Amino acid sequence: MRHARSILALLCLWLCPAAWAVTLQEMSLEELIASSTYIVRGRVEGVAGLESGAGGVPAAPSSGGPVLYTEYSVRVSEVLQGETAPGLLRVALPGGRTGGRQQVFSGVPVLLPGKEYVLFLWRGRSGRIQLVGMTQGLLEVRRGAGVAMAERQPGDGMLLNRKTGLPVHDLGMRVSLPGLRSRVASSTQRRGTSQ
Amino acid sequence: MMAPTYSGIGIRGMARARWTMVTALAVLLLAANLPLSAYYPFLHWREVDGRRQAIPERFDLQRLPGGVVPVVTSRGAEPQLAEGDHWDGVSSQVRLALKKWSAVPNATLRLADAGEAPASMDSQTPHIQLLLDELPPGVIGMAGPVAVGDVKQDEHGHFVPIRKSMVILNADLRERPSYGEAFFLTLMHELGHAVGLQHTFTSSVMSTGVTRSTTKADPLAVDDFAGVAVLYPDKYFAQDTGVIRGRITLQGEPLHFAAVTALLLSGQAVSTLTFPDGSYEIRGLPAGRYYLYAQAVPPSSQDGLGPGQIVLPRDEQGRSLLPGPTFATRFFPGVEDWRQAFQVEVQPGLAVNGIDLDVPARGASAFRGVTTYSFPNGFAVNPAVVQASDPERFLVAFASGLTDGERMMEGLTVEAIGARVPTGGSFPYPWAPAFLQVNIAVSPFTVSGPKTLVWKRGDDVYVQPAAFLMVGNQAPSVREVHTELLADPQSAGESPVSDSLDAMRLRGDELGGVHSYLLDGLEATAIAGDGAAAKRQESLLRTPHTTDARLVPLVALSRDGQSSLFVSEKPALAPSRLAATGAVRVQPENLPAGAEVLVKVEATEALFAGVHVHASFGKPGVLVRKIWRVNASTLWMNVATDERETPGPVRLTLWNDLARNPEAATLHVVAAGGAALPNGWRFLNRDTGGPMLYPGAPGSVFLPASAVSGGVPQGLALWLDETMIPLRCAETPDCQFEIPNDIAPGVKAMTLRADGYATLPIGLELPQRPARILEAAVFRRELPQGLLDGIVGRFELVAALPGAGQAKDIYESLKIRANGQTVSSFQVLPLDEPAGSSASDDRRFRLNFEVRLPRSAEKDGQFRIQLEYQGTPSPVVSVSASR
Repeated sequence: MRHARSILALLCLWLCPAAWAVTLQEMSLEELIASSTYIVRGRVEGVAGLESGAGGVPAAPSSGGPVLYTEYSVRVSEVLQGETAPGLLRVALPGGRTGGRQQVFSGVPVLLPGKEYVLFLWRGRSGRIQLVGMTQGLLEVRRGAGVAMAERQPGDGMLLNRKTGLPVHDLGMRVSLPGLRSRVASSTQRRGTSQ
Repeated sequence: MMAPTYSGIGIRGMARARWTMVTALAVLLLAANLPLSAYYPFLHWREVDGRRQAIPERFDLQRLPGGVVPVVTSRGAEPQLAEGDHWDGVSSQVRLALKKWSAVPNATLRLADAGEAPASMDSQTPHIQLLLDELPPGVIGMAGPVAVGDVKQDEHGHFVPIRKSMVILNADLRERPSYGEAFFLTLMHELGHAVGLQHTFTSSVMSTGVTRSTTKADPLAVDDFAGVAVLYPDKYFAQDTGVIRGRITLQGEPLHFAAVTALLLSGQAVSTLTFPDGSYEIRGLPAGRYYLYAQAVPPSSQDGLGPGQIVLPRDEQGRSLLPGPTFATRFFPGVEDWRQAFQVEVQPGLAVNGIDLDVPARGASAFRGVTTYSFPNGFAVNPAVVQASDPERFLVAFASGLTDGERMMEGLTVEAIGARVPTGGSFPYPWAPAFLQVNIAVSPFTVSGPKTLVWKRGDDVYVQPAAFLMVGNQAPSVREVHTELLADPQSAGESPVSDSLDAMRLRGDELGGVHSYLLDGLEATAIAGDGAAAKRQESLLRTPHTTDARLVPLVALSRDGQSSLFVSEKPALAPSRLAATGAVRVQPENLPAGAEVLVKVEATEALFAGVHVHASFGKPGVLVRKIWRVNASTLWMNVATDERETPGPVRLTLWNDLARNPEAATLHVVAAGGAALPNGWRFLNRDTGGPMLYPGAPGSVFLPASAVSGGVPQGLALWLDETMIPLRCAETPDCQFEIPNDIAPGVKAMTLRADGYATLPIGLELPQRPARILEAAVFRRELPQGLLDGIVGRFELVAALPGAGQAKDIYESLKIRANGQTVSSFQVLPLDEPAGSSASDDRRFRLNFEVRLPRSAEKDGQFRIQLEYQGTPSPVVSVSASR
């Protein structure tokens, strides 16, 4: 716990200047799957071109204009959906620090080096690979005595219902890895059939 | 039980009228240079002038052309629109949102549409860029300042200037039509971040999502007003609003980042967060009696951010100052039950100090914000709207901590402040037991407006301001739209095109309470003289112009905050007229940087046949400050160009209602300098301190230093069209003048001329002569101590109102301010017969009114009175009180 707090403090030290707020659309697991170009399980190895080694803080944004992005290197160990081979995948998330400019976005998660995640990823026309639904598209893998689980805690950001546009609560998500594989496979099959 | 009251002077139990020693001190706020706080901006915690201060980020309005923040729109990706939506409609919603943020009382913030620019644009002029771009699925929008400068100081205190803010919206709008509530409120929320506001906890538009309760009909709450006015105060802010200050401690230790909220019984609330030393200051409070409570902010769900998804203040080294621990909610003076709480009386221009609270430690609340819904017509509406006359009044609530998914949490209670939840009136919603149904009871004393809910389970108390909206009527609905052709009495003979006008007649329900009809984001123009129609549930509107004569989404918004989209998921569709197209000629074609000039636009066709005309250049540094539709083919506009703007071509875009003409003309920004008389001169009204001039007004002209380096030019004079007005120039570059009393009102071209040289003209709208206060007397009366504290000033004025007709018509066009307060009711008695043939003839009236005033008003025995007649403010008159 103490370690986690010190990491949090370090992250604050680096990332809190210039903050943005993000408004998200509520996505069910089915919608996350359907919207994803790739769904992968992998471990964060770090950030490309790390500027600062302070606590493994991600600080290597690739500036593509007024919004700064941070690129995370994710070592993919399993591909649940999409045509990508296991290996290194670069995931860009809004926010970062470069040339004296720093941006942080509430609603955008910070990936911690060494942690294992399931990532719901989307590749846009820019070629940048990003998280679907930001915090919603990132499940942390927890391995206990029993079956491995992929989960995330409820968030407090701005979340709107897809159909009604009304604000809704983020209830978080918890699903077993085998269960998730099965849901992804059946969803892919259903979409294949309907097409 | 009646609550005791804390006032600026003392504390007294209203029930027993006992006086107690006071710690609260009233402090006049006439010296406005106080540390900025209240609400919650992006803060820097720095040592300045020998002490630690909270320094907010905000735009430096004085460094912007015309003091206005330019907003450019860019398409990083081609927008994908919902069925029936249109890009011109999206643009009109953006202009509407800018207008709403520009109308905050007591604030100088003005946002102006600077047009459409490439996504890659940048500018030396501080600005906001609204970018529609490719964002991942599930991301709707994000916003915030992207570049800030070093600490600066102005008359309002220290601040960190914002150089650029961005609002990025997902270009995929297929599921969020621009005419809907969700798009507009998201846009308002993100623009709030862009001007420097963070999240708040009062259900305002800046609330973190789930508890937001503002609507498109009434998008900004008092909390939003206070937030903007604290950052961008006008000169009346300090005297028109009050302050509560104090300190929050946790078992005696200063508590950082506690949410402190001032809550009116009517449900309106203003909140702030405590500084690292535990102190707080809530500014911008309207007069009234407030409950005050401290509540823990929901813990962060994201690494790197503070509780409530708020960026923590940071010091010189960029280190964030961590929040204090969570605690139990307490009302002032330290009670858990709101009914035992004292009320704090806030008066304009006064601060109530010493409202301190010590709170006990407690783990995080189980309540993570509560979302309320109602079902006016079978589908969910948020916030819940409860109709007082509905026999089945209830709302449905959802949050963690209310139910276990099937049953209501044991020991959970809910109360409504300003209404009542009957015993046994809350239980799992039968149709979805994960939700909670809360029945609402009303009494003859229940008034419409936002209402507060208080949720409690054990020692876990969660106060939710404006949790639902109590209304007297159903939401408006539009059932039928018919076109009609009417003669246009205002344009007879002006142009063959506009001798008649298309109109649309609406029929529906509850249209009497509608405050505006929106055609896309355009506020429709009602055709006057049809008051009886409103009673027949009809309205008559002008038909807007579009580029393709398309059907335009029509939404009715009511004064009580409701929308026709509350009872119909789809908007009504209204016809539009095909806008004319054609070429324009502009004069002048060159815009000198650092100056404001009048540009005249002449079209070969009736390009400006609509009521709403608008123009922009797609550059933050080139802003249309004022626009006048002279006739259907002629526009005049004042264009301000920033001195930092790069010389080069700029493209003029013109709007005729909802029709965009993007290639209207090309003008050129040129470097200033070289002119015998420089164009960057300024003027103001010496009586009001503002730019409005009128017949009889005393004014000052300020010349740039370069213009007077060799002395004031020979023969320098001010010209309004071809009327010369002499200037009296002292040794400073300040020259004084008086506008002649007999000059006709209207739009004039104003120039400075000297010995054959002339500046480029500036457009000046000269209104009619203002009202004048001829006699004024004030009689003061002290109120008995107790329920109504303070003094009452009874005012008797004699005023001359130019061109005034019947006394009954004056009520709509006259406003009276006494010591900063707008007088809500007054009596008008004519002293003269109606004016003769000239509309400019004065007519005298006696104006009687009473105003409750703070005791400080008698401190210097002076009361300041100002009239505003037909939009023209009068000079301020000071009058001594008589007892």
